Amino acid sequence: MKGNNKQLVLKLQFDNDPEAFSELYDRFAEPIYRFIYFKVGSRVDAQDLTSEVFLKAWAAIREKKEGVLNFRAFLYRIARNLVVDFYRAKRQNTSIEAIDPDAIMVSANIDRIANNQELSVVLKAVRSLKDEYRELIIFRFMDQMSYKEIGQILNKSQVTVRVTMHRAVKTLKRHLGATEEPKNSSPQQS
Amino acid sequence: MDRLEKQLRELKNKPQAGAADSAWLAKNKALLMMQVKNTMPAPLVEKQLAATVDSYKRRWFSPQNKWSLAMRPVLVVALAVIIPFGSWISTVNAARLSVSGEALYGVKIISEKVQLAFTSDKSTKIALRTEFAARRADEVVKLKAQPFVSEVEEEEVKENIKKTIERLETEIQTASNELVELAESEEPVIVREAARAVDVKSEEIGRVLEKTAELAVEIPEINEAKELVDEVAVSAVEAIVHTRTEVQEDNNENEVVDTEIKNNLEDKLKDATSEIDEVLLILDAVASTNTPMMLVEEEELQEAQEAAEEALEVVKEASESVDSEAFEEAIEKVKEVKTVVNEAQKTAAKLQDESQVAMEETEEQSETISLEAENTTNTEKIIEIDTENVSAKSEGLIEADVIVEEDPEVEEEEVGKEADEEMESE
Repeated sequence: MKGNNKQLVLKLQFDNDPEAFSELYDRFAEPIYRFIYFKVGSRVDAQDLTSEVFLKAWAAIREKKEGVLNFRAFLYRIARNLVVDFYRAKRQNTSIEAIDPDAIMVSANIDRIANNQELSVVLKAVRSLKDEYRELIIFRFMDQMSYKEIGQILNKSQVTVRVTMHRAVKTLKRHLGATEEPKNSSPQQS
Repeated sequence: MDRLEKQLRELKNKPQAGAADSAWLAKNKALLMMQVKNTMPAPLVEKQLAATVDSYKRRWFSPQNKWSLAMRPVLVVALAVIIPFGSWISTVNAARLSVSGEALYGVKIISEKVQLAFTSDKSTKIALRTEFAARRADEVVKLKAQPFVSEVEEEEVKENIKKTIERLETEIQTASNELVELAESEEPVIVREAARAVDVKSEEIGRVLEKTAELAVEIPEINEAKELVDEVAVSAVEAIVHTRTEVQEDNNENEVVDTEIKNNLEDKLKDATSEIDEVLLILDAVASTNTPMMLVEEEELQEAQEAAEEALEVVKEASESVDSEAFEEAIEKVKEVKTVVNEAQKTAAKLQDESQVAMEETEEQSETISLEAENTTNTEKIIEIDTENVSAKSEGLIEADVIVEEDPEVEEEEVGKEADEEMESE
């Protein structure tokens, strides 16, 4: 089914077209899942929360009389709120301030990528970034969003997004550099 | 950067980097689509059936029937549907008895999420969550009863129990958090109603989890879940107490609420006393079998006994606070008692376990000693028999010698004959 996201949402809301929901799911389920997965560190939890995102989105669309302006940003907002609720529900973290998504990510039992040492190293470096930087790297390089789209999701200006992205990439490279051996080292000669 | 960009794009397709499993995506889509289709009104019949839906809503969605709402997921789905889609409803029905690891469990969980998503009333949501947490507790009991024939199956069952416990904790904790938020924004009457629902269900969940106590040694998450539901139950009563501190014009209502709080706290203290008594019994039993040979630490045993006795003192103090209607003070003491009792129960279970192991080892050692003693006796008997045999043989040899000694002439005669024959031949 063709059509931009706005058209699909309107079809869903006013024409009650289930195919519109199907198309929106196909477009966004995977990036939403990835977004949540990198925050909660567990496939099972990420699957549960992803289902909830779409159910809540569906319930909200049905209640709203006007269309949703930016469906992607709308989904990510729901996803963020659900992740916050998820952390709150964890016994050990009863306040937002006490939550450390970075620690959750680093300590998550994520398997190494078999037969690909290089990618494993890159993944480890991405996981070690702080949450704000990791989000940007995922949005820009894995989900291939534009700065404008990222800005809409994060409710920030494009300039801010670019600046933060630059810092994120720099930090990522530094983490990668720290795991690599110096390339030009030569043995000492007597 | 190009190389790094390429690597990051490549990561996109790896499950370790958040690539979703395609089978799960498809299955999840099918479930969601079923629900979406079932909640879409058919425009032509909407007006015709609107009145019927309204009358159902008045009957089933009234405050008195919050539990009906929670207990009848099929009904909730049906109410949202103008033309019911039989396949979804019958699937949800079939899924009601499923547990983690079974094929329809995903449907059960999704149908619960749908109920939550379509419930806008906050206190109803809280009631739903506690009901769902109670279902998780029942599922743990069912899973515990599942038979297994191999170690692999046993591990699978344990994993499913752990996942179910995690879901239970999520629901009950979220319900508790939402109750706190509700207390900030809603009328005391509404808050009390929601708090009662949380308290009642939490106590029920605690009792259900007691049935799985023997599993707690291998699955400590069960004890953690029990501690959480205890905390949530007390927090719910606390929420009721806080509504009381607001100025209330109706003194009759104050009295009713105070009586309710008193009865509730007294029940909690009675339960705590029973639990402490049980702990003391276990510790006494461990102490009576505790000999120098046992491996159980004397000091730990004594500390546990002292802690349990101290808890009884705190229970007394809490009772006094309840009687004098110093409810906030009483709640703090109840929390203290619960913490001490939980620790004492864990220690008692651990010491009981160690004592059991030590007793079994001692019995084994005794058996080994007896066996060895028996073996020694048998060995001695064998040695005796051998000695007799040796003696017998020796006697035999002596007899043989005697025989040889008695006939030297026979030998000489034979030698002589041989010599004669030789001479004749020359």
